[in-house]
Amino acid sequence: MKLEIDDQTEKSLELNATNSPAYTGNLPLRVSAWRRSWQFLGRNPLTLLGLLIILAWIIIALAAPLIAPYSPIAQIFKDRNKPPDSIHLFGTDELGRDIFSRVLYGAQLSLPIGFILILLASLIGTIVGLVSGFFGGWIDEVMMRLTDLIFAFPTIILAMTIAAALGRSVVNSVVAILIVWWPAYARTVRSVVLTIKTQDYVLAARAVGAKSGRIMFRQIFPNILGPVLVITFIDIGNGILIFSGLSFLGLGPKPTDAEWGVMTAAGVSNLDAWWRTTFPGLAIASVVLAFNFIGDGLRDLLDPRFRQTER
Amino acid sequence: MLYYILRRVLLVPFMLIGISLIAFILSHSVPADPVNAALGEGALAKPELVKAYKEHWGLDKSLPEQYLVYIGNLARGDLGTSIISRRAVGEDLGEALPATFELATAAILISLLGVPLGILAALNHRKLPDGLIRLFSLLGSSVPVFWLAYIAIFVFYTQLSWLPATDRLDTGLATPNRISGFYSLDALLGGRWDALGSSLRHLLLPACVLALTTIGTIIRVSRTITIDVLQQEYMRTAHSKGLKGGHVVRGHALPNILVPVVTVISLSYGNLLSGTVLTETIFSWPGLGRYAFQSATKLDFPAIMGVSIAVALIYITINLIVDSLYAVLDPRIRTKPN
Repeated sequence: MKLEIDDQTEKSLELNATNSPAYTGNLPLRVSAWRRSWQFLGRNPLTLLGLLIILAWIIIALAAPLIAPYSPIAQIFKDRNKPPDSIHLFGTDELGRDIFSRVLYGAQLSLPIGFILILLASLIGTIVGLVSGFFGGWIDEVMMRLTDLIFAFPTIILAMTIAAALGRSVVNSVVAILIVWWPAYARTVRSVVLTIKTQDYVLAARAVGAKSGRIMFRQIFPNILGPVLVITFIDIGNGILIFSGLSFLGLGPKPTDAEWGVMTAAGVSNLDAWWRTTFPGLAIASVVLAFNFIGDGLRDLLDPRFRQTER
Repeated sequence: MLYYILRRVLLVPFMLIGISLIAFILSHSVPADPVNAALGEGALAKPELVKAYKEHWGLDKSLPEQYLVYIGNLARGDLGTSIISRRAVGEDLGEALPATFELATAAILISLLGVPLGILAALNHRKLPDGLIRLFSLLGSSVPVFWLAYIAIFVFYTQLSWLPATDRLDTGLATPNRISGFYSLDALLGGRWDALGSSLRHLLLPACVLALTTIGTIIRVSRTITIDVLQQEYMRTAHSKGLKGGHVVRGHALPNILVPVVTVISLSYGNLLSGTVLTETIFSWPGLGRYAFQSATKLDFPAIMGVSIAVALIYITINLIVDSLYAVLDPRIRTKPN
């Protein structure tokens, strides 16, 4: 109901805007963008659900010290390996630590790492793809053969080898994943740059004497930014997934850290204590699923074949 | 087309040199000390032991020299000796590869179910079956495989005791005579019914877990492609000619869906062959992934390089097969001049 009223106010706003000369430009565009987002979310309940789950996890990560009933490292010896009950919602581990609290605190590690990891991979890949696609020639050849080589290694084996060689730490495992993750972005950005650089407005900029750097960052970059940001955002879930996989193998955070992959691995040693593995795993799955829900909707939005015209 | 494939084949040795170089640089630029990793902390106090070890493995030569020695041996098919297992890396890989191939093949056969599911979803676009199948496909690509493996073991092994959770055969059962290296196939060919049942039961859990992780992508691609094909002009033509719905889908849509679907299946197969580290480690499946994990964590450099080269070869071969398959499946590519 509320949505409809919003719709109408927006419509009248738009009408006013188009009628009065003072408002030509920004306002109608912005309003209709908001409205389109609302309509989009209304038609894609899964995307809305995904956004809500991510929002919930961000709030949990920020407010973990306030929500969590126990400290993530407090060891209550009389309550070791307790199954879930009203005192310990998700049970306790072999040291008597509260798993519910540890899962909540785990969001403080996994979420920022997922964001930072994918943002960096996207940044490196975008710069390489931009330069490679724009200049072509030997730079392009070298860069693309390098991506070929990295693609020929399976992601997890290469990341695992690098992480193992560098030694167990969060930073090293992020570095290892970065090395295998950027080439996909470089390839995508390069292919887009190749089509954009022959567009008339780029040629025009060149004709009036704009330097390469200016064309790259003022003409081409803004045009690839949107799609790249969307791909980057969708990819965060995959980043969290592979990071937790490396942690599970013992190639990331310390065994004592409240991290979801580490907690899952610790639980595997004791199969009867099912709660020790189930809940951290569910946390990973819910975050990754939420990003995939959002990604699924956004893919439809980006792909004109799936754009719905009917209401 | 033939020219194209030939050129790709000729590129393979150069790719291999590049890959071995990366693996070599990677394994020699790390702060970790392989001597330490192989002999243990205590051995460092005995310089003569360390010296003998370095001489034996050629670690006392300069890095470019070491690399040339390695490439020379590689050209003769010698991948060196594993520091941990003290056996030839080639021999280790010879045992690990068929195990992984068997597991990956079983998994890809199960995930073939994704193709009819994807087509079904597309035919019911934006209706209930589409929603359910999409949800299932998203779930499949979101659940961490190590967690799924654990849940499967907990339910079917710990609780129900229906299926075994580790290794390829029941303990005490003799390995069937090696023909293909696939235990199930070898048992079938050799008439070893006990081993056949046992190996299939051991295969079931890890294969299903792996299949669930690949089926999501297969469903998504099949669905997207089918939706696209259904909107094409020739589909409308077929309908307006008065052809029946089922006939239109089988005769006009399916051939056009096939090419991209075969691509995604082959690529998933390639990923399974090389990327089963987590599943193999959890199910103690003695394949390539577990071997890679063990050698990586113990810094067994000859083994790591062997695995890298084997995996890269698989990847390159699969890509080559996929590209050749295009030509077979799509006459438009076959006749296109290069």
